[in-house]
Amino acid sequence: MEEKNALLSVKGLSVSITSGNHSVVPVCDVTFDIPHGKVLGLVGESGCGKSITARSVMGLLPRGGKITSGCILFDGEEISSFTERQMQQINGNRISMIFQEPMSSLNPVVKVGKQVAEVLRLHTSLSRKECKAAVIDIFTQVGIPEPEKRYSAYPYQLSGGLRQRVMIAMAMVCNPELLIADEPTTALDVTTEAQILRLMGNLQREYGTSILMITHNLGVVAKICDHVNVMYLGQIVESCSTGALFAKPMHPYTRGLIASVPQIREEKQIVAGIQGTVPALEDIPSGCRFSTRCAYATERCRRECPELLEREAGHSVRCFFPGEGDAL
Amino acid sequence: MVRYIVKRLLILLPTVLFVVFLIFFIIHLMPSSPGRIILGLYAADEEVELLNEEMGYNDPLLVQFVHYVADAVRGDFGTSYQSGLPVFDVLLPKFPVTFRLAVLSMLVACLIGIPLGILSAVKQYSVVDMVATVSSLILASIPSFFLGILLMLLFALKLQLLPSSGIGTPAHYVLPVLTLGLPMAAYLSRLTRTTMLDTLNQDYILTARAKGCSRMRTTMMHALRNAMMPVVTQIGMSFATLLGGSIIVEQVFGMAGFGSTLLTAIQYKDSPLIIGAVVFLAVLFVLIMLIIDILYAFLDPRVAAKSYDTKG
Repeated sequence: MEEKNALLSVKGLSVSITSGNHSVVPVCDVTFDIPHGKVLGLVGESGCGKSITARSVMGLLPRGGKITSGCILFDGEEISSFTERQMQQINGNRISMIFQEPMSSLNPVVKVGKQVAEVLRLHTSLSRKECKAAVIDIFTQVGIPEPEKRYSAYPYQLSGGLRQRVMIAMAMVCNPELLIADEPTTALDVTTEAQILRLMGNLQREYGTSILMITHNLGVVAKICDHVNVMYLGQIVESCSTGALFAKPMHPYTRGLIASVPQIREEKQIVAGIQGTVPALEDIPSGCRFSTRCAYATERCRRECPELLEREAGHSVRCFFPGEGDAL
Repeated sequence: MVRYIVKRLLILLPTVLFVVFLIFFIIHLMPSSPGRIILGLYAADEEVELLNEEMGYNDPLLVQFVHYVADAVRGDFGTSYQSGLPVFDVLLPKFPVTFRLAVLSMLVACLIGIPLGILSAVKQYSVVDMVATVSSLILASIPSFFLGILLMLLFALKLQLLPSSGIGTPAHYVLPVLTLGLPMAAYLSRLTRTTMLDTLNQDYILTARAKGCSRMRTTMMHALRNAMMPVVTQIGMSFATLLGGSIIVEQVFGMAGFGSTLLTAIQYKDSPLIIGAVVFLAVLFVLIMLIIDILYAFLDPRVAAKSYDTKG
């Protein structure tokens, strides 16, 4: 990826979270770029540091969270060193975010229209009336039926799909350059998921927004992402184009993820999974972090941690034996 | 909404009837009889018996209860044994003092307790939070008679800034209001802190921050309203209790309010006055709870929606 044109550039980002005298590092030396108008997927199991990565971009780390090394460049500016006040100018305006749970991500006691209008009131000088008109306009664009009526609805009166559309409206209303979507379809049923993804794809094409799509769902990746980073225990283990990810996955973890997706073509099958569970962050294995669950792990894997190396053009893998077990 | 209110008001009737019955029963357990109380210790037994018979004291309890309720519906709550005046002619003039005391104490409690609670939550584990925690703990643990006397010693005797007892001027209210208000402020600040901390962990707070809201705006516009629900309930309950008159504080500061009137009534076994006062308080309590429920509906649209559902 060409670094000069990148909209968002995360370089060697490490984050630690301290509570009491106890500290974990959920994100470790993460580097990636998102070019203008592209969709980058960040894939991994729960607790692999995807969400923390996203939250550090917005400067909204949880209590005790701190960027310990690395930096985040947005449009050439180092936003990781911005003050809270400076980030408030950017958040919701140039970078916005959609969350996983549309049920709990909207304020239950405020009308949804007002919640979307608040973004405009924070970042533009539009009058109350103009804000309302703009909100109704974006409601129409994200496919909310009867937008005037929905403007005065409370979140509890809307379905999950509609709430997520409201969240998307809220994120898109200022026409941001970067949209961070943190598992936006996880809480939705499959039909709604397809609709929401189509909507996001359309908006992305229309406005040229870059998207950081955080998900654990490879189906979502296949539908919307241009490039994918696979994360495991706070590290990026594989980085490649979406096509390469499915055609030629190299890291054993990625292969495991893909193998665990049931295939509709095969009649009878046992869905393969990945052995064991994700180790706790307090208990990161020495050497390669995946070695405890990897079928191909050798003595070397348990001893030293592999670097993320470019094995093919635009395809980097953190593994001593990339593509091992192809015959299997 | 109107139907909901009417429905709640109708529930008030059986509640109050039950309260009257309870207090009737308890008072009947007292040794002595109305005749003896009115005529005094040295009256002849025959005269006492005659008066008891005349007042219906010898009737079965249930009959007395029915008579009382029938009279009460017509607005006759009986006459006080001590003064011979109708019960509410004795009680109502005492109420303004208690009412003022209650409103002012509640104001003090809210104005100190809620902001302090918010501050403690936003700056959790900071110096402010620690100081607030410790002082709340101390204030909430001191019994009111002791706090009252301490305040009196300091401000009335040592510094001679404020009067120590009576109800003549506004200055008379300062110490009693502080005595009642400060422990309540302590409690409210703790409660506000707890609910606020809980609210600040909700997903929509992160949404607000992601929209570009400042911490201040997020706290005041998004968290506060959600965090206020349990606090409002507590304020209502405390206010209702305060309206019943604080017997101890009224005694300590020599204020002739509702509480001290009730205390004297109990000492004299003035049963019509006791029952009248209790009925009055019961009605007041139920009404305040109704007001809180209506406030709830304003704070949280979901509650309003539910009350529409249940009205059928």
